[in-house]
Amino acid sequence: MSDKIKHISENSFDADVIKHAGPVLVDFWAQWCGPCKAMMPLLDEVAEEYSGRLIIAKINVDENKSILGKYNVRGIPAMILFKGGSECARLVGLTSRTRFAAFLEPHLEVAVEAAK
Amino acid sequence: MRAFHADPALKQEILARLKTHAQAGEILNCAHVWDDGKGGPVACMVHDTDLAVWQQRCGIPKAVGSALDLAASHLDGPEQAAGFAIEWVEAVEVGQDLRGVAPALLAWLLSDREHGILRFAEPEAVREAIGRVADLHRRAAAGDVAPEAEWRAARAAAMAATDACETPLQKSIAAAGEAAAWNPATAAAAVSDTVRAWVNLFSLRVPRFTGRGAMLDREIKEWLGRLKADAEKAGLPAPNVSEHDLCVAHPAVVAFKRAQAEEIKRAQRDDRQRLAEILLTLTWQSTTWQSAAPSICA
Repeated sequence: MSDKIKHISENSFDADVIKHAGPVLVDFWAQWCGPCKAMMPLLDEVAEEYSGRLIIAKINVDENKSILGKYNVRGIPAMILFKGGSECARLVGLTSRTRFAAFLEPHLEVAVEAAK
Repeated sequence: MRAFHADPALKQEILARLKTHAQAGEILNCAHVWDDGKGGPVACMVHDTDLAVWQQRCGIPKAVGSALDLAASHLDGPEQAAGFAIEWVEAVEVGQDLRGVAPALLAWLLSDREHGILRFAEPEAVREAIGRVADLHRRAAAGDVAPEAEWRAARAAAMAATDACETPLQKSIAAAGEAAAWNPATAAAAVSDTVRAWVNLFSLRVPRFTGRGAMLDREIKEWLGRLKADAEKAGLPAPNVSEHDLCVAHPAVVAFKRAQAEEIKRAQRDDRQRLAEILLTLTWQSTTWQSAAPSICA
C-alpha cells in the first residue's frame, strides 16, 4: 500500500479529518470486504497523483465500529470526502477510476480556487 | 523500463520466490492481496500489494502487474493461479520492454472481433466512444502514446455516451469502455477496471442455445395444448404451468437444463482462461513489436 495513505482510527478521526483544513477522503473498509480490496490499487494511484492536494485516509470499520453510525455508513467500501471538517461528497461501492476521478475533481478544483 | 532491470539474477530470484510460495500453497487466485504470507502472484513476488513497489523492483509496468493478478484471480483455483504466474514470469525475457502489453490487452478486451466489448456496443455513440479508446490503446501498444489531453477527451466522450444510454446493459457495456480510457502507463487501475467489466459482461459472450430441439418443443406444445383443452372442458381457466410442472412431466427438459448449465460453466471457464492466454501471448509478442501494434489487437 502506498505510504501516502494514512491509517486512522475513531480516536484520531477529529485530529486527522475534522480539524484538517484541506480535503480529506476517508475510505471506510474492512479486511473481509472483497470490493474494498479491489479498490486498493486505485487508492494507491490516486494517493500518488493527488499528493499535496488531498489526503487519503483509511479507517477499518471492524476496529472502529462507532464511526459507522456517526457517519451513517451502511455499506462498504464507502468513500466520504471531507472539507473544512464537513462531509461534502460520498461514493459507495466499487467504482472505476474514471467515475472516481469525476467524483473527486470538481471538489478539488473548488478547494484549489478557494486556497488562491 | 526493462524487465528485471536487465539482470538475469533478479529474474531467478523472483522466480525462485514465486516457486517457493507455490510449493507452500501460498499463491492465491486473488488480486492485490498479501495477508499472512499468502497472496496474489504480484504480492508473492515482492511481498507487497503496492504495484509501484512491483514496478520498481521488477522493472515491469504496474499495469502489467495488475493484469497478471487479475488474470490469475479469475482462474479456477490457487494451483492454476500459481501455475499461470510461474509460466508468465518464465516467459518474460530479461531486459524485455513490456510497456506495450497493457495497452495491447486493453485494445483486445475492447475491440477483438469475437470477444471484444465493441462487438456488443450500441447505440452508435457508444460504439464510437469505445472505438476511439481502443485506437488510443493500439497506438500506445505500438509506442505512440497519445498526449494526456487526448485521453481526457476520449474519457469525457465515453462518459457522455454512458450517461446517454437507455438500458442497463448498454450502460454497462459503455462503462467498460470509459473505464479503459486512461493511459495504462500512468493509470494501472484502468486495467483492473476494464478486466473486471469484461469478465462481468460474460453473459454477452455466452454460447447461444437455439432451443430444446424440435421434438421436445413439439411434445411440450402438445402437452400444454392438452392441459388447456382439459381445463376448458371442465370450465376452468387455462392452467398456470410452472417450470417445476414442466420438468416433472418432461424429464428431458431437466436433462436439457443440466446440459445447458454445464455448457455455460465450461464456456465461462474457457472465457477466463482466455484472458490468461491472451496476457501470455501479448507478453511473448511484445518481444518482436517494432513500429506496429501486435497482430492480436489489430
